[in-house]
Amino acid sequence: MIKIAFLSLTVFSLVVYGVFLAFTLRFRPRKEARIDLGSRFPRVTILKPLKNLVDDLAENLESYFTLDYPNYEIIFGLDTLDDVSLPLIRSLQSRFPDVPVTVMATGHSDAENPKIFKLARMETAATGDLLWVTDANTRVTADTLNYLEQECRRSGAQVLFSPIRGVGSRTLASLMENMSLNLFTSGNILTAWKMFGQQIIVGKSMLIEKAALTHFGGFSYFSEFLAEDFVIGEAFEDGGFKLACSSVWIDNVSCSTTTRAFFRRMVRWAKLRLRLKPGFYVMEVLLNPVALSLALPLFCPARGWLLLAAVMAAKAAIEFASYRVLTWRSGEPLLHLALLPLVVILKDLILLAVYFVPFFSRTIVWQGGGITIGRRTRIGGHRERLAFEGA
Amino acid sequence: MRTAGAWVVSVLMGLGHLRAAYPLREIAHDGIILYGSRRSTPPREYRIWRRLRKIYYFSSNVGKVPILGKPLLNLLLAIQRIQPYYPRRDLSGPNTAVCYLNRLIVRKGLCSGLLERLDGVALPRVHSFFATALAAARRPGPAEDYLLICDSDINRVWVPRDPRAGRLKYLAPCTQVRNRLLAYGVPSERIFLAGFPLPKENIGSRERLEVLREDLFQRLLRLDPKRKFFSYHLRSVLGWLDQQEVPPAGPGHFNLTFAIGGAGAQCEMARVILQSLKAAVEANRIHVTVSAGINERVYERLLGFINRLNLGGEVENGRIGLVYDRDVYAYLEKFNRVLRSTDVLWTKPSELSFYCALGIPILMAPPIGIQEELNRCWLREIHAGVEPAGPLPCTHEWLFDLLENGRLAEAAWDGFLKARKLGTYKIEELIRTGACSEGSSPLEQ
Repeated sequence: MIKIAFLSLTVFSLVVYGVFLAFTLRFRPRKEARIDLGSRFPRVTILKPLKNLVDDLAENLESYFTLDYPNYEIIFGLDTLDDVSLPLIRSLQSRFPDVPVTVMATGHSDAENPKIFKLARMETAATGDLLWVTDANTRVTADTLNYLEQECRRSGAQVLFSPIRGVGSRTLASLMENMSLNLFTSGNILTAWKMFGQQIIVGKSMLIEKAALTHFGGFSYFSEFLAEDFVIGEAFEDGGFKLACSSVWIDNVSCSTTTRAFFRRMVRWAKLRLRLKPGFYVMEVLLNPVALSLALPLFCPARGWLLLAAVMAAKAAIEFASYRVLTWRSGEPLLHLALLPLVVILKDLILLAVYFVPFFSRTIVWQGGGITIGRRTRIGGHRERLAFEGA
Repeated sequence: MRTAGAWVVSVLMGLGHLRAAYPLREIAHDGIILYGSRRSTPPREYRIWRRLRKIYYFSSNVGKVPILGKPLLNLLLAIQRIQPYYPRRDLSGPNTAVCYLNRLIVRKGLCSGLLERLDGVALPRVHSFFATALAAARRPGPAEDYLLICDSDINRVWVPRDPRAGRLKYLAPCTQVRNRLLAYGVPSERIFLAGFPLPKENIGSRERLEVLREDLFQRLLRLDPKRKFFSYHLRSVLGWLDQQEVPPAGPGHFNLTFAIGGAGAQCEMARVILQSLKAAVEANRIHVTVSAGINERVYERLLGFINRLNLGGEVENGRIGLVYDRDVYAYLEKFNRVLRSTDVLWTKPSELSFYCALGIPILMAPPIGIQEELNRCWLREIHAGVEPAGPLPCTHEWLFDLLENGRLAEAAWDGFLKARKLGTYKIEELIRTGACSEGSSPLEQ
């Protein structure tokens, strides 16, 4: 009985990944038919909260200076003007003087979501009708904003979010991270959206209509929550606004991540997921076929090892297909191909270890500080903290 | 020597107890203490308060649980039951809740952290929740403890095990509470019929009540478009409100405020009301404000209702308003401001029932719990509360019928005449002088 149960769960798990892969393939990044740009270009403000240097920051930022959209500005938000990224920004400013740029020193708050704290201050200087919030480690192509604006207009959405493509792997851990982003994260986003109409916003790239945001009083409305992207999606959806998943993928550049950093990032995200959707999170272990298959030799002594190998091979094949379609053309070395099966297994074993951590800890280490979260990732853990005591 | 300041202690248990304490913020030494919150409560005790709070929110929403909700709600109501007042008899014997609370205070040290803080400065203490007051009054010492009652009738749990022996003084919002306290065995010299503390910004000065009277006059004009009410009460209104004449009726709107309780249980009602009143809002016959409290999920849901009903434009042109703030004091301030232009307050009969004293008719949503049942009775008794005359989806029909036949104006007027409005001033006077007058005319009560 247990044998059948484990086998069924493992097969189920592989099938789910098959579905993720199918959606990833179906909506993979590709050039759309030539877009009709029309004559109206609503002003877009790109909001870029930054802190310290991240992988390939100069190239990432440059991609936002070379957009072929005719009406946009960029606002950078730094903790202080001593931030090491400031010289990079200044250098890009001098190279692209036609792009309107504002640099703001926003300060930092321990009691609020650090990113939202910055965004709330940056939005006061924004002149755009649309706000495009993107992370420091994202990179885009010149036509990305044209596509996004057009999709936003076509769909009538007030929030447009994008699937993420992990690129730039130079280390084993960054390869693991990018693979996880490509299949698990983006597969989830696309499947949830296209199959169930459910939003799972990953805040790497969000195009938000400013007028709709004012109904919440601006970004500060979300300052109590650490998973601001998910909460923004939920609030907009509950608030009767339209959300849409873009067909434009955004590159998330991760080159030099270490295994330790990868583990910590995955733990951070897992803690957020547990507090956002506890029921779904508990079921997440069923989405790790490699972990499930480890039990097979125990319950099927005769063919257990064979089944274990088959499951791992199947998972590796699915991941390879995803990797091949999404990032192969981005110039990763061939060595990655040879390492890939090992990377897949190692990644899934690390993710199994990650899975258990959130049940024992709700403190998230981020940007050098520890933040305790409660339900819906509320900072401080209890709603009273800001609602009552801050008053 | 007496002082003008006092410790003002409230708790985190819905908005009711805090709403009662908020108007006393001017005399509050070191701000209003919100006991039971993480910051103000020792960790050991905090767990008890958290549990009590969970029970409170559960009981507010349990009725909505499918199948089991109703029986569970009935069970909770039975636990909270208040003995009938008639026939008059001695009700001073403690009930189970009194014994349980006593045990929490004596054995578990409930409120011990608070008492340590209060002992630091010898000032009178005004409590808006019974547990902190009962714990404080047990402690020997010179400080006076006042318990501010937030409903029109109370459970025995608000009074200590031995009501005659204690030193706790009671601030009653209405006569029924005084009678009930007497029945529970509290000596009459420890009961002050002060009235519920209402926001001063909605009243004006104690002597003239200029804000209240002007707001009420404008409200009555809006609530009586056919001048039916004025045909009966013209001289009385002009006299009490110090006005010269009533202008002729003209086209215009009136303002409805729908208040969702702290636990968010009336959210769905708001949707049906908005749907029903949509055409009237668009025709500028009514302006609707929905108070979402401090719960962002309630606010988001309301926003969703408004957008899905295509009423977003009405928010922009001010015909639909939302009152929300995550900061509880900012919320109360906004709510009080909205009340000034509110013509009808649609709410469950919570502590907001006492706001009828501002001359705002209370349209009564279904009560939750025995306390609110009794508040409803009180509102009916003084004619300041109005029952919805039809089902929610027909609000657009019956609400305007109530308006046109002057019933809402009448309720506004009755509330002003019969309910006590000077609670805040009288409590301040009591703290300052040790005594306060009950007053006899509507402008003195």
